[in-house]
Amino acid sequence: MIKHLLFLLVVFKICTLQSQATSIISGVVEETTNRQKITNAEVMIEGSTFSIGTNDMGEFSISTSKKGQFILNISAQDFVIKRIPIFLEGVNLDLGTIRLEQDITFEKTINLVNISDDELLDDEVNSNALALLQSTKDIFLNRAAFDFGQAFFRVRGYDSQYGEVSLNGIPMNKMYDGRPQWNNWGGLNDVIRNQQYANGLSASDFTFGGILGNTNIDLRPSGLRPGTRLSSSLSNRTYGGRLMATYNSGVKKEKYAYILSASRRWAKEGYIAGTLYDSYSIYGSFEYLLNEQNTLSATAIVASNRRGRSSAITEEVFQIQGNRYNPYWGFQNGKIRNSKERNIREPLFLLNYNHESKGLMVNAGLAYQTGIYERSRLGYFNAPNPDPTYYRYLPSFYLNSPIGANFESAVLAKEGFIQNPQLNWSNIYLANTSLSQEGEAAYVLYDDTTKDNQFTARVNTNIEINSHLRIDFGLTYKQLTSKNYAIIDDLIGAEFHRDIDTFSETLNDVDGNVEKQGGDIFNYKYDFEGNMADLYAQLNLNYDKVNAFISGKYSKVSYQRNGLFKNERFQDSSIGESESIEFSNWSGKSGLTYNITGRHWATANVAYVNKAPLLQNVFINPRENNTVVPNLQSEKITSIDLNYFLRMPKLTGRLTGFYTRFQNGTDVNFFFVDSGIGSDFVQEVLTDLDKLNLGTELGLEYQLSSAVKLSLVASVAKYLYASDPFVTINFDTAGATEDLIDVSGSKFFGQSTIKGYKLAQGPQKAISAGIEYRDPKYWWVSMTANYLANNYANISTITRTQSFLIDPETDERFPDATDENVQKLLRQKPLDNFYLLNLVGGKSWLKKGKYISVFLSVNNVFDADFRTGGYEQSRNGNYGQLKQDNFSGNPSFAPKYWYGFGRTYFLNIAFSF
Amino acid sequence: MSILLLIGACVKNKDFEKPELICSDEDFNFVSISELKRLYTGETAQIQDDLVLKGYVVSSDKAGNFFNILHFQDVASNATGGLQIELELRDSHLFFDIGQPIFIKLKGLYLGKANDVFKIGGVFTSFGNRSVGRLPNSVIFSHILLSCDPVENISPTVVSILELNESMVNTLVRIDNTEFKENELGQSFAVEKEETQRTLVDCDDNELVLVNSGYSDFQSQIIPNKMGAASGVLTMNKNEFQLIIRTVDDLEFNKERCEELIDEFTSTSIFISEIADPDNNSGARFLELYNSSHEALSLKGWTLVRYTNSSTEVSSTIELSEYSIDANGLIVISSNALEFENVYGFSPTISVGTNSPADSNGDDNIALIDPFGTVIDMFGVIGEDGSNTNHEFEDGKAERKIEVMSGNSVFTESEWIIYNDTGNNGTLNLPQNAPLDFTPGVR
Repeated sequence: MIKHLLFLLVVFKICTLQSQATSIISGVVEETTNRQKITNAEVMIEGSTFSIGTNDMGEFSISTSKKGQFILNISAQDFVIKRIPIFLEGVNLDLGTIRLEQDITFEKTINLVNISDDELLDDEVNSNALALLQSTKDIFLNRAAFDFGQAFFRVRGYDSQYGEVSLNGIPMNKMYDGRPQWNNWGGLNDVIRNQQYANGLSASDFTFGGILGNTNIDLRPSGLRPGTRLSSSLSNRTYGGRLMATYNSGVKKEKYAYILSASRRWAKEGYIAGTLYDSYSIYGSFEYLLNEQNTLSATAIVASNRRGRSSAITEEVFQIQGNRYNPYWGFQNGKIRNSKERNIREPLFLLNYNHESKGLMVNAGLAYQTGIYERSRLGYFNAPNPDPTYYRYLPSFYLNSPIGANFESAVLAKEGFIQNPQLNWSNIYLANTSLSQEGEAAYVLYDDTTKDNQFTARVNTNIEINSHLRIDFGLTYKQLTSKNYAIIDDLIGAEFHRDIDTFSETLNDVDGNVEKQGGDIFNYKYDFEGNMADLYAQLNLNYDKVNAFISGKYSKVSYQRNGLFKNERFQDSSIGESESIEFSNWSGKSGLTYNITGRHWATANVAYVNKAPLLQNVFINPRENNTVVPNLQSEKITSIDLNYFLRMPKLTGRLTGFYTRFQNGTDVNFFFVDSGIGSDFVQEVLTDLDKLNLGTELGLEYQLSSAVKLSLVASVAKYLYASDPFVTINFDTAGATEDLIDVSGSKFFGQSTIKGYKLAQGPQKAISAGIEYRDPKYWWVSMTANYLANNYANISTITRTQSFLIDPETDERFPDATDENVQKLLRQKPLDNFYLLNLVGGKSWLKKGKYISVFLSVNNVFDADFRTGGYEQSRNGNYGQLKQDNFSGNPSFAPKYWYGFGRTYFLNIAFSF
Repeated sequence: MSILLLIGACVKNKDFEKPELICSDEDFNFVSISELKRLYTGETAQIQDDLVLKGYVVSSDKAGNFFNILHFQDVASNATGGLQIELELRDSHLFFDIGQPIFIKLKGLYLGKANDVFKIGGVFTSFGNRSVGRLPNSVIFSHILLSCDPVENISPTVVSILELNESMVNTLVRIDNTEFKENELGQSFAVEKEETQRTLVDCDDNELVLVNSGYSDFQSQIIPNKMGAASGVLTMNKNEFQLIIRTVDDLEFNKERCEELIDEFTSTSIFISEIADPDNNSGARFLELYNSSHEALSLKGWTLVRYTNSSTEVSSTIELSEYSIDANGLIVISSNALEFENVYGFSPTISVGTNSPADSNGDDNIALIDPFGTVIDMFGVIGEDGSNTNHEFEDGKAERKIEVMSGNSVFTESEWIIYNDTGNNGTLNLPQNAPLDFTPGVR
């Protein structure tokens, strides 16, 4: 079992494990360069669960009853891990002074994983959890985070909602989508470095957690390196520049410590055209040491992140415009204006209490978070779709004409699209100020806004009964009030917006004024209430040959919607409180480690988890009414993993097999019915959805010499749909003017036969080989060659329902819709496989305690074009239409893909003292 | 480096200045609409020259009655010509207000003609045939520029229906004193999702087709039952003028409807003078009407009806509205014009179908009815099969005696000489053969 747990509290004392141990291993850890003692270094015998921290004097002492060949592993933040082979035969072992070298590659850790996170193009579509893996030393996870991340690889194919992220022990996953929102602390790389990660199903001593893995970020000043650090970066990825400054006072007078940190990241546009980046983050934390055993800390984090978003595009658009193309923006007075910005500003305040005494640790915390999450949209009302990639504007529209291809017009449309590829703001002003409109807006720029207030309380306790037995338990309570509404950001030259559903000519806000002004809330307004409480207990056993744990969790969740607009289409169900939706669930997991020898061990873990549906999957169409998804069920997750660990002096590695079945899932996918701007996204509710994720992971690292390290990493897996779920499509009828599926905003499609189709959870095969060279003169360079394969676009479930076969004109099955033809048309094609070569290198200088480092990373050196994911458009809802659309080979409603970045760089200069 | 970075650290905030609206005041190589039309060579072709057309928008799709099309005329008032351009653009009124002066860069556009109307736009190909189609959206604003000149009030050309001519097509016209045709009142502007034609008439009963889209906002509204001025874009379809309104406000119908023009009249001077069923040729059947007065009479509103055999319901009708009959003149109605001409050597005045009142086999009853529904003349007795009666003319003929000078609403045997193949009840059993035994067109 992998464990890299850093118990900071151990810093203040030597923890000696009393037992009938026959040998005591002791030593002193210091820095190679200036012979300073290293406190809070982590010392463990590889293959065991418990680790020991060094004391103020850098000393440690481990007692063990193990016998045979083992490797003692000594690690500390920013230092290269030292692995010392030892032979235990019941005799005490004094290793004397152990010197750790500064890890000159740590800049990579500091900078790169968060970049990967930033590269998420659009968090409605993508959600990987690689930022979770920042601190891990496991070569597989490391490679997944740094290299596979570019291609939206997901560890074991899991969504990030299955990994729990805590700050100072307080869980941060959102109730709405279950995912941690990394932008809430983005840019604060200097202060979120102290992370403990428990991988997969293994036991964590701060939470029951999710099946992907669990991270606790310890933000407290005493756990971080004192001093000042300044850094600035240049890049052409999501942002162009970054400045960060951090000051850590260190523990003063043995009483208090504080950190101040600030960062700014910005870009006029990132790698993808028109994607501005405008972010600042400020962090302050004060820690007060009551005495050796008790500390209090208060922390405030304000991170504001404003981004210009980009769109998935069809192959046709890519062929014409390339991988940087983004239809969301256009010039206004010579400046880039993006119609779809995302703005997150949700300040966080934490209060923590920590107790650490012999055999007992208590961590209690309160968190309060408030703020806004806005996504802007350009709505169009009785006006043409302003999206330049709208299907009627593209060459394929003429090629797919039902009465034969019109090549001349296709050529003309293509020339026009090349000349005028962007949103035409000028025309939007023209339309909104048109005399015939008499002040009424045809286009409105507005923000879909979520304003959360969340309160979280958390207590976690670890009791060490003896050296063989530890009990962990914890309690969490979360309370969320979430205000949701659309607010007019800009009337773009018009005087008012008439707040009606243009399709049905009905009011969205019956009791309000139909003419809305700039700054007014319109379209929809409702609150969500969510409450969550859970309790877990865990028993850990630790013997020489065998380690084991078992844990259980009980959780209660309740949700409620409160409508604040009376919608004319849903007079009865739109306003007021919904029923309260409640779930209570049991979960359990257990694991066993068997130490074959000190260099080989194996673990097996199993978990059975019942997980309440996420808030986002509970209400069918919360913007309009209180209706709840029928037959809501808790998701059942059954998971098992088997791991083999190898810890030879030069060769280390891990081989894992995993099998996970998700059952009774409720899933809501968002996708666009038409395309891009202003057109409506629909919610697709799948119920009784089963998924299967199984595969193997391999990570091997070989120390060729003291300077050269080789590595090989592979993930070969299968992520599949494992049932035929029921499909309901829900959509916001407001704002769309054409081709609505159903005016009521919801339609039941029956069962979708998707069993066996692949999940769109990133590459299902990923292989990487790497070489790293560290020069004794403080420079290093590493290269990885990566192969990513078997990635799939998200399938449309509508086209796999019975309704697909029915000709709407005759109400009978299409005569040529034979099983064979249908299968051929609906076959899921993998995205192209591709290779990525990444280079990273750096150099550092240490002079009189001042430290300067330069770090450069170049990704995708060969500038390969690749797709990271995508989704089938659901517009072609029947066989005849889809067949016709595919006939020319250039479908109007082809799948839309996200394209990865070409060759990009990241350059960082850091200065610390 | 940090300082350099700081300088560049400003990112544009969310607030934007309103942009200057883009318009053009270039002095182009202008071409007039009529000059452009002269370039048409008989088939749809792409315009290769750097020509620019100036026009004023007269149509609007705000109410949905126009779709993906823009009509424009050469000047704002007293237009001398107009044209239409087809566009892949919904809600084009947002960009092209009525009265907006526009420049159309013609190079690359297509010029063509369909149903006698000139069009420009993109190209549409089907089975190798080219016609003008919608201009692809992505090039519309490269071809149509807004002029910096202000929007002008379009003064429609005021004309009467009879004065409409081809040069007015695609311009805005106004026709005073019109109303919807009486028999269409109570109907909606258009059947849902179908292009629907309604008829406007002026007080002189001149007609003009009004075309309405089944997708327009006012499609389900009932057409107004008053009279007034109708404005709209004049179009043409196969020699027939049509008017398209932008909104219902284009119909300023606020006056009482036109006095009904009484040009229908009644007269007993018109009556049936001969009905023929030749023994040798049923294709040579005919019916003859006579006007005994000294002036020509219009048959507007008149009908001939036939009650087949003993039927008491009208079995078939001949509308006579379009015809008139000279003083002391005759008209001949045949159900088989070709055969009639073969047999008698001249063509009948009116040609109708079989089973009509002019195609009787001798045992049917026939009535002549005036515009007010009054029976002016009657042959036979309604409800009585003619066989073996005094009004059977099977294989023969019924001829009005020369001294009869007016119609009679009751069949009177003594006014007729009747030939047949039975000879009952005072008729003559003397089958008649065409052409010699008959006198169509002669009394």
